[in-house]
Amino acid sequence: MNAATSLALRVCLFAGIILLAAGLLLSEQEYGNDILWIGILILILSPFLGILTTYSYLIAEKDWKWVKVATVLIALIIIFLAVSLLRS
Amino acid sequence: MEPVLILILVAVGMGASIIGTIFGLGGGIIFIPVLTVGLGLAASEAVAVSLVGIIATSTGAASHYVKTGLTNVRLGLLLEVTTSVGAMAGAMLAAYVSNWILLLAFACVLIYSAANMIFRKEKVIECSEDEEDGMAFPYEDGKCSTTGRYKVANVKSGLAICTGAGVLSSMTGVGGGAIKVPLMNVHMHVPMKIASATSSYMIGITAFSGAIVFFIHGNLLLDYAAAIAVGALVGSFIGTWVSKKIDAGPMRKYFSILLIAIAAIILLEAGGVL
Repeated sequence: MNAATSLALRVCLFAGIILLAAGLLLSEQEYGNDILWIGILILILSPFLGILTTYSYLIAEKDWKWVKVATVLIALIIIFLAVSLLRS
Repeated sequence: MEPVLILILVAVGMGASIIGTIFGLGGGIIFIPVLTVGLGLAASEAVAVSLVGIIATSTGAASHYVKTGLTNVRLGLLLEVTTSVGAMAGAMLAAYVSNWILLLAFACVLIYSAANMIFRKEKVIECSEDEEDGMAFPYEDGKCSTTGRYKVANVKSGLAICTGAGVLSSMTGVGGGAIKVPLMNVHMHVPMKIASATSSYMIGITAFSGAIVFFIHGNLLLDYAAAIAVGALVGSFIGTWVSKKIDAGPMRKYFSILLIAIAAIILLEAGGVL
């Protein structure tokens, strides 16, 4: 579980950072801001994707107590995202 | 954005991340004063940019700590439930709170962190082999001849305090590590190394909950955040490497002086003197 979670964090982190670096270098171009937008989104989402990876491993391990905890956390985050989207 | 400004922001991100990683903080404690006082951003803009920098810093460090097993992922998820609730409430409140209140709240967090570093001794955990139960976890720090166990205490009150940490974190842009690490170590009896590593993991999730709101509402300066994040990631790797090489213990007191100086500047900014 730990190795997979760590890998998920690193993949998202590096993908986001590469896009951000590219976006900064191409900031004079019309599409530079779009690259930055995608890069920031991936970077911001990386902790959440880490949780989802952990969650899938907890389910696979049938560690139901901690599956419940992770479910509550994920549900809270999704509810708040939905509220934020509706408000914007 | 001017190349010089990009380089300044990358350097700020890197420096804050190195210091934050060494001292067990998210880096926001450095980001905010530099962005507000140094670069003239409004407090709410600085908080949003800072949260992205914190995510880069903490995720970079956490990816290492999770892999090595120092992070207690399960405990992190549990505490993050109430921390996220607080962070979400704080993000909503931040849009309706004046800049000077945010700055004042941030200065209070700085002073708390400084006092914490001056007066709090690092908790030493004795090697033990407690009976296994739901909140007992394995622990190995190289000092015990066998793998010991630690039992997490005061879970309910710890969860409640984490809600307050989440509110402060989201409203001020600070990752909350200055509150979570002593909370876990002193109040919940989690070994210091585990507390710091678990806090790094949690800081990223807390910052995510706040940052995504700023992002969705379009209140995030993308170019500032990008430059800070690039520097912060590099800084987190340097900081992780440096922290293995040096004894950060004596440096805590020197860093607390730096925090008080920054708090004084922020208070002057909040009072309209600067």
